[in-house]
Amino acid sequence: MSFPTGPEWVEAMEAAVTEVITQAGGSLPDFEPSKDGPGADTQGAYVSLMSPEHSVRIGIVARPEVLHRLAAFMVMDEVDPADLQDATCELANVIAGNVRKFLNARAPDLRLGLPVFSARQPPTDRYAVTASQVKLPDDSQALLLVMLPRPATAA
Amino acid sequence: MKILIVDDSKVTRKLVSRCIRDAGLGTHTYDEAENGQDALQKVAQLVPDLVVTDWNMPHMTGIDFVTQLRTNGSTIKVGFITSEGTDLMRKQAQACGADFFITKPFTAETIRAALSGILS
Repeated sequence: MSFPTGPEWVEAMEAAVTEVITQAGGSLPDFEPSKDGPGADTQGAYVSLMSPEHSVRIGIVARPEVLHRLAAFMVMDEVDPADLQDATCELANVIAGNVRKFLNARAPDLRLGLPVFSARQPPTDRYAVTASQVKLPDDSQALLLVMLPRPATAA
Repeated sequence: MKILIVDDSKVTRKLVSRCIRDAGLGTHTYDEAENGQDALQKVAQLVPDLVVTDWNMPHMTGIDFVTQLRTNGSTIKVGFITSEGTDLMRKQAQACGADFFITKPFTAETIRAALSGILS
């Protein structure tokens, strides 16, 4: 069985985000493919999913105020600004766990790494990045990123 | 009851304790640990009645913590709240002596369904 493609990971991420939002009492979010990468003013959290033969990195990025609203929505409470990185990492962790569940039949031996917060742009020289834009009820937007390592080129 | 919540995320520890309160299963006291190693020490110090632990944590994972707890002879009620919910993990949790398994995202209703037999 082949390892899921970038678009298949994105589809699983969209399903995971939908589950997180609806579980917290929100309405179904809208998604659309995004050709643009994260903006310079965005930050987010990433989780690696690794098997003995493959790896993929998924992330959720947005402007800090949008991340703050998303985190507050997930925990159904106010989030102290000092806890924004922690909350964003937990959001990415929950999404990753559900992505793993959705793709378990295709990639059963995956294990999750620990979430990492970053304000840097994804290294597109090393990763093929597929993105989906999630529109939130207040019209703000976040970006779901799937990063598959590019094959190494011969020197 | 004395409840120990084990998770490397402070925000999640807070969310878990709030959902247990909101589940309406009585009044309890709460302590926190950041990973499995920390939790083993807190269990020895505090002797909780119930431990709710994450799975994927630095230093010592939840499954290693529960395995160690049972190896030490502890019969404390313990279970997982984790973002990963594969059948294999559920079986591993059961095999190492976990009493419940909850997947994230969760709500007070989820907590009530899983813990009512233990806390009520």
